[in-house]
Amino acid sequence: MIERAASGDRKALARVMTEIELGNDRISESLLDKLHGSFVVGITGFPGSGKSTIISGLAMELIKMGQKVGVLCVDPTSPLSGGSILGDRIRMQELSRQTGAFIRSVPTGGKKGGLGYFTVDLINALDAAGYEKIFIETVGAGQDETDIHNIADAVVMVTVPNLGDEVQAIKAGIMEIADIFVVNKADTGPADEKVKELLALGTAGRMPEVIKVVATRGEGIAGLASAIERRLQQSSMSRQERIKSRLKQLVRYHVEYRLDRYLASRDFDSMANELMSGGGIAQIISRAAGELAK
Amino acid sequence: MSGKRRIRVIIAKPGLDGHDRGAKVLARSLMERGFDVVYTGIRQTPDDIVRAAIEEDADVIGLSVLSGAHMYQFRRVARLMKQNKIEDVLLIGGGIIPESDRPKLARIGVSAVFGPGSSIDEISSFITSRCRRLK
Ligand SMILES: Nc1nc2c(ncn2[C@@H]2O[C@H](COP(=O)(O)OP(=O)(O)O)[C@@H](O)[C@H]2O)c(=O)[nH]1
Ligand SMILES: [Mg+2]
Repeated sequence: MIERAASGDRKALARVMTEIELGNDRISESLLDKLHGSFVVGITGFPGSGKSTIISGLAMELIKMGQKVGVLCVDPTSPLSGGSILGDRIRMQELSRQTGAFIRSVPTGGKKGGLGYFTVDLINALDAAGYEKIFIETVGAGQDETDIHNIADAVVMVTVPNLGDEVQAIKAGIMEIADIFVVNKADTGPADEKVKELLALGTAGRMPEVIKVVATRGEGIAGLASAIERRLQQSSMSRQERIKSRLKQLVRYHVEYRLDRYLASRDFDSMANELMSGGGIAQIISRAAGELAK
Repeated sequence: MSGKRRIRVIIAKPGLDGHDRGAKVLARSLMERGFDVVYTGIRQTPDDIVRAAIEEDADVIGLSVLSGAHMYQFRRVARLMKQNKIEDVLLIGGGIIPESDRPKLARIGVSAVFGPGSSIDEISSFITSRCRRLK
């Protein structure tokens, strides 16, 4: 199945991804010696800011240059029903017809942090199948979206004019939020002001890169594509180092997945009682760890 | 330890008519029943729909058709599903489809047709009972 996926069989790649989502560790493991070290680009920003539209434009640019582009669109799983609406393909119609593109929707499955539990494995599947650039659209829920920073080689944060609060929110440290900022929907409001606001948050020697875009008309997309490319080429990490750092996150996500499911299935009363009767934190963790590895 | 992939349903709106309120309502209701619903939007060609179903490894394709061109749309989608060997994906239809066309649709592989009077319970339990996996 993996060999067929790597030779360009779309259906085989899709099935590999399903096996990953079913928690088939063997499949995840069998990808590891087939990685090329593709670049991963994260796109974050509030819902409706234009992430999907921007990814579509960026990916089209790369496809015109002959690259193969994978896209993972992460959307939230409803905590009430466990279901999800995965609606990002709506804005990717032209892209979804390209031979060089592969788009997959990813529900978070309840994971916090803006990505799904198996996102790293899904990146690996695209990487092993020869997709050279992989875009990840995060949930876009705001400040607690920290996952993408540990996974992506470049992070783009999308904002829009007329949205003041988020700038306040990121004052803590603008350079930690993203490598590149996009003021999208520049056709709808005072975009230059927004650009200035963002630039004003920089400090000497640490100025954010800010790009004005009208994604629906393709304006500014080429400039954004070259800014991302520059950023990726500037990185001091080698291919091997990129893969290694990605695999570190893979382990973290698998631990988190198992831990979340383990805790959800636990009876907290008995855990609390055990603690209060001197059970010891280390003992409880050590028993949990044994369960997790099963 | 096994993961929890949900039944994945593609809701698509083929053809040229631009009204997708019904399709969106259906998508939301199915989400509320615990399905992962990929909504692909309006003006989808049969090729678009089948390719999306392949990439998403969908378990169900639901076509919402209002334009009266349903026979053509379903036939094309069913043929492409065969060509791509994904006939095991459940194909269902919704919208305004005359009773007299239903036998023909059944013959080309449309498992069920849900008219405007169908309840979400009916649709959701049909999918759950007939879906090829993850029952
Ligand atoms: N006016 C305007 N609308 C845009 C622009 N970019 C995206 N949109 C629209 O904004 C809405 C949300 O876009 P989408 O890409 O789905 O945002 P996402 O939720 O962040 O992925 C859609 O209706 C887009 O057509 C833009 O540059 N200008
Ligand atoms: Mg989106």
